[in-house]
Amino acid sequence: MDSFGRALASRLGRAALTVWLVVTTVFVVMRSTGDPVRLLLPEDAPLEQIAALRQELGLDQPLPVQYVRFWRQAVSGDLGESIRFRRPAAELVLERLWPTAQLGFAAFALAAVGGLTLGVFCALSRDTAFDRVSMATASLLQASPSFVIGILLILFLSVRLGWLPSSGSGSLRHLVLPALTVALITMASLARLARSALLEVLRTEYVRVARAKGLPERLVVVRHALRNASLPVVTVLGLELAALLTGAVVVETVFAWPGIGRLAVEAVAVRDYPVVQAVVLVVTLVFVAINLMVDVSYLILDPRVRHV
Amino acid sequence: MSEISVTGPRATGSAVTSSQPSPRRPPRQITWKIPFHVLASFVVLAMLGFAGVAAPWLAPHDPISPNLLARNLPPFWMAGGTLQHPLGTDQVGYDLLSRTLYGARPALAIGLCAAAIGMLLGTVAGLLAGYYRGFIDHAVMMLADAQLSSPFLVIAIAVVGVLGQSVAVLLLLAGISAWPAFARAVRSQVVSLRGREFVVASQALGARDWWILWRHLLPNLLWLVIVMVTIQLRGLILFEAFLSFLGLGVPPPDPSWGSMIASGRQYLVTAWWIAVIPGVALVLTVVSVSLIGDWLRDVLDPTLRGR
Repeated sequence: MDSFGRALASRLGRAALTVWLVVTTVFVVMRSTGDPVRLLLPEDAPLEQIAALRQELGLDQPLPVQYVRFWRQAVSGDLGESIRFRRPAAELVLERLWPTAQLGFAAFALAAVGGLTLGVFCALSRDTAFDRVSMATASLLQASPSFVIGILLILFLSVRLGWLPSSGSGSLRHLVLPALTVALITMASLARLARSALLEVLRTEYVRVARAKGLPERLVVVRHALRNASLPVVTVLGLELAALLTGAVVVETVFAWPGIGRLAVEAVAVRDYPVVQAVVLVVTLVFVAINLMVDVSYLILDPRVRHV
Repeated sequence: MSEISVTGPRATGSAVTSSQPSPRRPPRQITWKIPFHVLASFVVLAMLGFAGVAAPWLAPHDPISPNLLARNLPPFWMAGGTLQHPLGTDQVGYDLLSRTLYGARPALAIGLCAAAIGMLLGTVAGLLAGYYRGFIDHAVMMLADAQLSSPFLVIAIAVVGVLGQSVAVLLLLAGISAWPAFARAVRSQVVSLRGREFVVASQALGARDWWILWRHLLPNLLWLVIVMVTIQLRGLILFEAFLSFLGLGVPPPDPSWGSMIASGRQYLVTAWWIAVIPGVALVLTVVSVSLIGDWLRDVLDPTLRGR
């Protein structure tokens, strides 16, 4: 097998292992509390109902049998029924996946455009007051918790200035604040990265040659520097994609955004365990799929990674 | 600006030693010039630590007994505020200054204990993986990578939901969340150390593996582990704060910055201070921790950048 095939196989193996570990963790945690039927039924359920459900779920079988059964159901998409909504949990989760994806992609676009623009401007106006203030703000933002940033944004942009709604969904205006909240941290780190990458390239020989041969500064930056500075930035952009999805899950609660993260928190609050379980499995699949796609696109784009 | 100097290498019982994370560098005296923002971060953290430890003496009120007659009071500098509740009260009449002081406890204690758990698990796994290589190395690294590419936070929400919220569950989850980073850093360091003369010499003299790990490798990992703890601490403090924000962390009515921020979320229009005051405390803490972490990393081991 060539190095590409081997690298691809190892990435696929890792993805499969991650999914297996998460499914097994869910199984173990659900069983470790004793009787999952107690979790699945209301507390005052009659005994016959408990016995019936136990048999239906196969809980009277030995553990390995249950484990295989759990897998078979998960693979066939049967993740149980929501106690609260009386609907298949998988369906519920897939419905809520779209708002989270919207939030994640909007934040990704904002972070990429904002972060790169700011980084390039700072690099070109290096050591000016603008550069210093932007970079200090960026490092402050990068360390801050997103849910606190969200609360401060609500306070200023929504409560004080009344420009944007503070919670809910439905229109583009509702999307702005949550997307900005998710984006800001990534934006800050991208700006710092883009700035240092560009500064590094601006010090190289070929940029000096370009300048020496009398090329206007604008062309030096656009044609020679930016293109080469974009390599590390693109790498990090890919890695941030999965992080933004987690960020979206975190921020949804602050803005009452009807995504998958809020679904999980609501389901935990009312002990709707089939939904909790379905959220974990679906988010894991999406997460692993994104990571795998990013990994594989590197394998295709950058042959050096194949040997690591 | 102030300076402290630290004698670099620590004797490890063998002739060739270096506690510098980069093994090829000769032992030397390093002088640290502390930049202003790092000094300020140390001061902030020291104050917060003191606030947490001395909360029973500093706090003007009991943090878990509400004063129902004084609800939604603003801080003292605003109209309607009193010095009796210097930072105001929340919607049920808890004194915010007292709760913010007490809130430093879960943030710092859970953060540090979780870092210790993660450090212990990760260092042991990394030592074994880096020293023995082979199967154990593959297994540990696969496991670490698998965890790193899973949505750990969502899994943690589910686990707390099923097992019930308690400080023990929180601590364990936070600790587990940190082990892969420790394991990877320690492993790569051990891989580069195990071929060095003092290890080979010790092996040639017939030393047992545990002796080499304990006496020759572990002391050389000290700085690396300290840097890793500082870098991980930010995430762990946020982990506690965020789960408490969701109502899945420190059980009520005990104060935690996360749960205080959550309860203030609904009152941003009428009483912004309920959410903002603990929010400021949390931001100060994590920003200080991460500034110190970044600085330590740059001083001690630039190769760790980006982990």
